[in-house]
Amino acid sequence: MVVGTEDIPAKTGPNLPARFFPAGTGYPRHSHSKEVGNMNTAGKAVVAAGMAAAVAVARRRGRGKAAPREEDADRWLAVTVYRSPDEVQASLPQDLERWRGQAEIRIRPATGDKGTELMAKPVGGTSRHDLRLALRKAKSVLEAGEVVRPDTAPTHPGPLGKALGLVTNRAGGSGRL
Amino acid sequence: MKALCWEGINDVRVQDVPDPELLNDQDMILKVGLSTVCGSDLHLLTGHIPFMQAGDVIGHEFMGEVVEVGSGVTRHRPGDRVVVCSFIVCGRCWYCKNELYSLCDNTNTNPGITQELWGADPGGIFGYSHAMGGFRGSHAEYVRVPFADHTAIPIPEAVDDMSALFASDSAPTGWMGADLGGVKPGDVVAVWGCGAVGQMAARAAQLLGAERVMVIDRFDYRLRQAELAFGVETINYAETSVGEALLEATGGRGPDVCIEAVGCEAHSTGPQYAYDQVKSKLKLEMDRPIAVREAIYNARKGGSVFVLGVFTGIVDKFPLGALMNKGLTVRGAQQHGQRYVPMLLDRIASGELVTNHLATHVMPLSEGARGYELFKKKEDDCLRSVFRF
Repeated sequence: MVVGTEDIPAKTGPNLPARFFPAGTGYPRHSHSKEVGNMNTAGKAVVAAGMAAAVAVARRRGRGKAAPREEDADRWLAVTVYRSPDEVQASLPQDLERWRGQAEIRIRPATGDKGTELMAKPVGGTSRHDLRLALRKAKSVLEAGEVVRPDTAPTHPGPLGKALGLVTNRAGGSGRL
Repeated sequence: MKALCWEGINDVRVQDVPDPELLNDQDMILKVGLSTVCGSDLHLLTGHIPFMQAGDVIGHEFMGEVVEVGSGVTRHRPGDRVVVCSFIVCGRCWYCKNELYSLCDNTNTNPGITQELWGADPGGIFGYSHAMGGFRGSHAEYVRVPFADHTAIPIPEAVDDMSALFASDSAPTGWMGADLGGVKPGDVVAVWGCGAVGQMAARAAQLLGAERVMVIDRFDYRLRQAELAFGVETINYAETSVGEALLEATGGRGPDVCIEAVGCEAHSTGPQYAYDQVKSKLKLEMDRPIAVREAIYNARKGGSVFVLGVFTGIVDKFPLGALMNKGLTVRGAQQHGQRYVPMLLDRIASGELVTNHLATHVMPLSEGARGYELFKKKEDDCLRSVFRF
């Protein structure tokens, strides 16, 4: 894992100083990830149950979203932690520490006193899904001291519930992070 | 333990489910005292919100007694009487620190679903589908309360259980609509929907200084109840033209603040309702925003509209032209309950805010299915069914 910190004011986009991001790492254009393959797959299970047509309509209409682009796979994943950069740097939770050697990590102040932007990008074949999950968990530990666990699942979810389970089993590491 | 579970569309049943356990250090276990149905539950019952599993415990507006606390809980002890907000909040993320509690970053265990739907994930809710975290609800003998120090609030001695119950959701949601809708002294305020949340919004508007408050519904018994409890003016939209009545009442201006407390399965009369029903059945729109359209159309120029009702996705025939050209401010939110509950409990204690009249039908959990049936069909003048444990 590569951990870098910068205490310069946060900026985004191509105008970032080159020193902020080493050559070859790209720059974090903020986290508008278009990686949605996981949700699409899981969503089909719900469609099969006749439930996700509305979701598909919402997504198509609400975001006018194009298909995922190849370049999106190289984007940084990011969360904003309501803690100072020093605090974040000093106490990266285990959920991120275990990614040593498998991800690049960047830390920078968020705009408007919103805390610290904690960003990660997989190296090699590292799973973006798992890295998203690790970032979310790290944020929760840093802010709230723990990661809230879901209640135990119902004992008899039925076929539709099992289809939904396919979605929820992936939902922690999916989305727009 | 016994719990009222969603078993399928329009099918809720009392079942035996495992007792809840402390899963996190900041959890506590609550012995539920009272738990009420809510209009937003009907979206789960009808399948409008499709992220339910058979066996899910429903219910999100409740109070009770603390029976067990985790090692990280410092503000509550066994024996304490507390009211619990429907939204679970960490209390320490940027959103919680800015009192936007329902937007908490750390409590939705399935964030990917709502991120895909809405672009970002709100906080988790008790008993309100796996899209909102999959937490068990409160229509049960016991419930686990995550981040208990921030999610639950102590009830003052002067407040009885039934009054405190509605400080869980109805009262703070209604208050938020008036507060963030920008109600000021002298305003005329119109509230669409005369259920518990609408009534609380109307009362909040009065307490914030509104000079006239009008509530709009199609059920006379609800309008009468609000009139009796708070002295508000009433409009039955099944019998009267809402727009004409509001223009007459406001000297041709329209209300300063319009609060929508109806939600995504609104009823109406005439071709607009038929249109929305057909489109929603075909999934060409997800919600029926009839009251929102009316609120935007009838608000005065430069006024504000606050959307309190629950919506899930895409709507059709949204009057964007009216919104823009009349210079309206339109805002919405799920309840930022923890921001208001202590103040509301004080107002309840002082007699300024009355809530217990909302509980029109009190029954044991064993009659849970009947409670929802009464509530859904508006039978026997039911405003809220409340389950007593």
